[in-house]
Amino acid sequence: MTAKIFRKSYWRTNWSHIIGQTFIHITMAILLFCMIYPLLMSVWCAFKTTVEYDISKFYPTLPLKLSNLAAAFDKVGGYVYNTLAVALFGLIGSLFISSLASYAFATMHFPGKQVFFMMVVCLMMIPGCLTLVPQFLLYKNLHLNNKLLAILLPQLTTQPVGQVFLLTMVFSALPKDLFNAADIDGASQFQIYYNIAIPVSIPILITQAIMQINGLWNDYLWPMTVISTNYEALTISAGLVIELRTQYTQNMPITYSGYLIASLPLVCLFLFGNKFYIQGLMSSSIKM
Amino acid sequence: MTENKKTLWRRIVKNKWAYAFILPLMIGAVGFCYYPAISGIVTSLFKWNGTGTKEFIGFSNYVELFRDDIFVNSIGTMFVLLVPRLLIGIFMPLIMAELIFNTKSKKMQSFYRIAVLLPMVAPGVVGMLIWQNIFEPTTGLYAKLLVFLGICEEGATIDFLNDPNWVISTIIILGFPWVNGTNILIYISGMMSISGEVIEASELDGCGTWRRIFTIDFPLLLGQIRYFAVFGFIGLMQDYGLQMILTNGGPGYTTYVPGWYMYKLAFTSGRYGYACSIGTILFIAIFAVTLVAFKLMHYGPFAKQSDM
Repeated sequence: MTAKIFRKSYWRTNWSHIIGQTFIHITMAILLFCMIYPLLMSVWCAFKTTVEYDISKFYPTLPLKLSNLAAAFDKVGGYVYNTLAVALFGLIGSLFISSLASYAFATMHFPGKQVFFMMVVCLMMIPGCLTLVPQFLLYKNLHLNNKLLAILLPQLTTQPVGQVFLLTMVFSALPKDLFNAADIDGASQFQIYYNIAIPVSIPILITQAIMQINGLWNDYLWPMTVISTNYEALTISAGLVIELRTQYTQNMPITYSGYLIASLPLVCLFLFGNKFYIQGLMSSSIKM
Repeated sequence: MTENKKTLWRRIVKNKWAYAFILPLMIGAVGFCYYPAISGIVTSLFKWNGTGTKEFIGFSNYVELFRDDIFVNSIGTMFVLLVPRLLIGIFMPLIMAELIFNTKSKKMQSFYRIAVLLPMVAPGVVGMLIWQNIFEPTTGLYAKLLVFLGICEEGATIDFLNDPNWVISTIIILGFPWVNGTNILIYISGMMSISGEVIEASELDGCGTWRRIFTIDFPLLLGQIRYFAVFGFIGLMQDYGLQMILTNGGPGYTTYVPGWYMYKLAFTSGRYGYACSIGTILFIAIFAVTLVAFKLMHYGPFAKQSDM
């Protein structure tokens, strides 16, 4: 008798378990499909002729018109180079500046440390909308507007400010003995920073780098503001918008090819970085 | 006194490396963050077109601003756009995180975790431009879908982004299903940190999945929810990317938000002083929100020393 009841309830929970799991998988499948469909659409539309695009844009067709890619690269290739250049120098510069300062804030005791740190942290409360117009005027007065340097410079000046808070917390969590031992052995502060602090915090630096590149790739507001006439100096997102606006006759497949080329470096970044990124987010470094 | 000064000086010299380490950062912070912020507030007190002489007019810009119908209406539009987008931004990732977290198969779970990050591979602006094509009148995917669902009549030409009756709902629909992989992962990591004992005990007491979600998961995820609410609110208050790329504030002034009005005033009309006064008002509003929120969350300047 008891065995019968037990089996009955066992089967009930098992059924509800299966139904629940099926519900989850079906819902996720629908949501992921809705998420991915526009992206896939832009992939297959990139390889269609204009005629094919008009009649069959909702599903893929053969043959692939690969020449679209070449035509699109002529248009957006320059923007990709610009963005890569800014990403390379901006990334190295900003991570160097922010990690160096974070190391000082986390491990050294010097007069005025609290004041300086507060100055940096309080900048988190100044919104971009207040500084956009004056920042534009500042770059204009420095005669930097319409130059690629105007996009690179904020990566070295404004960007590190946002990274310092998190990096300082990470460096503070490192065991002090690590640094003390090196100090006793006569290493200079810079050597300790370079040989100990940096290597042990590579994962968090990579996460920061991914966020920075992603931000740079996605930013169109600042480039479109500071570069108003010399469009050759634009980075990719702004370039795409401008390209679309100035296009006389719209050839949609080539436009989609342009999107594809613009996304390729991010695809590489994703393939390389998704493990670090997921780890960085899942680890308890973001405490709330 | 001189004794104190001497030791202070000695300590500064002793720590010269520390100052050298923070110098590049502080140059950027003072020259490119504090200086523009202060000059923005100062400029808001002037009448200035960017090239001629500045004329000091006190608070006239602010007086004019609150009599300016475009500005006053744009505040309403901002909230109409902000509230639904904020709720979506908080709860959609939470729902998806629950779905993924409750997936029993470990393989599928890690597959979903990577899959939700996929939209990251397309720059945001590409996503928006693709959606622009989806919203194309009659031939676009959205028009076809509305006809299929019977919301629109066959053959109706609705220019979704240029029709004042449609533009707000269209902007909110944009991005469906609003997957934000980063936020989903942050929620999941929050769920994983809920002690397994608590969940086990609740299951032994006969607590079902739904009840567990509402009585255990949500309260324990309050920190994350608050974080996304605050930063979402701050971000959306000054967001005008859609206006810049898709609607240009139009049709008419229907999608004007304060940030976009500021942008137009500065870079189209050249009224820098007036534009800066909008920037300053947004700053005061956002600063107040942030200050209260950070204080509640013990974040930023209010971080406990032990957390550092």
